[in-house]
Amino acid sequence: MASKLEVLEERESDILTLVPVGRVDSSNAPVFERVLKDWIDDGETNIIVDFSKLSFISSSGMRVLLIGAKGVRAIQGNLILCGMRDSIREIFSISGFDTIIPVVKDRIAAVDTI
Amino acid sequence: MITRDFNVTVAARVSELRNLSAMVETFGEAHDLPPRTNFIINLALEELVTNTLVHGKFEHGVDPQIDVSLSIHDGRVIVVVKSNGGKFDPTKNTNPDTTSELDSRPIGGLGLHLVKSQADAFSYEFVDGLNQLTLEYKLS
Repeated sequence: MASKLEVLEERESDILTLVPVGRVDSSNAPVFERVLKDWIDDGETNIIVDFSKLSFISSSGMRVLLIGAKGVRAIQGNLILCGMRDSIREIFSISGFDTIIPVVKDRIAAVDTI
Repeated sequence: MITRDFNVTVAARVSELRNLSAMVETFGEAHDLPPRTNFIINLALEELVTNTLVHGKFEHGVDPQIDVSLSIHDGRVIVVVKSNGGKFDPTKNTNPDTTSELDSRPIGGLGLHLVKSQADAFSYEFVDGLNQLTLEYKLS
């Protein structure tokens, strides 16, 4: 059974911002995947994932974002990541994820990107 | 000099990840480790435990177990991870595709790549029927 994950959801006009809180690891990545997938299945095209309340993410969580990015691409949407601490930014760089999913400094920059 | 080493054996279950994380935090505080070092050790343990669960070949009747020890020698954090999940040498794993476009980027295969990329040394031995991985992180 998956561990819990709190994901705050905030909407401003046609932009949805998801804010996962704490850790996303292999124990709760399925929860994160379901939240993201449900929004994309509902046709949400502009999604920001704000990392500012996230202290840790593993490859299990990164995989969810890759799935999400592919999902919004399929409906001509945007998935933008922002607010990463340095340690998390580093693994997005090592993995090359930052070359296929936009990563920006903060929510203001994320809205501008959309 | 060896001080305040940590050693723990846990069942190889994702539910144990939080306990391992708490152990790394306590070890980090005891040694005043930088946040980045704490993060990459946490990440390495998460990826290795998950990998053991997914790919470990456990014989019938054998409880999957992982033994983790943390220590500091000569300005390096030494992390030793032993598991009983059948012989598996992750140093021989090929690196995943990290350059292709979004549509063709494979999903998965990333965890070990992150662990290997961030460790200053990464070695494998099969000792007494256990997989033994040794990771080293320089403290600068």
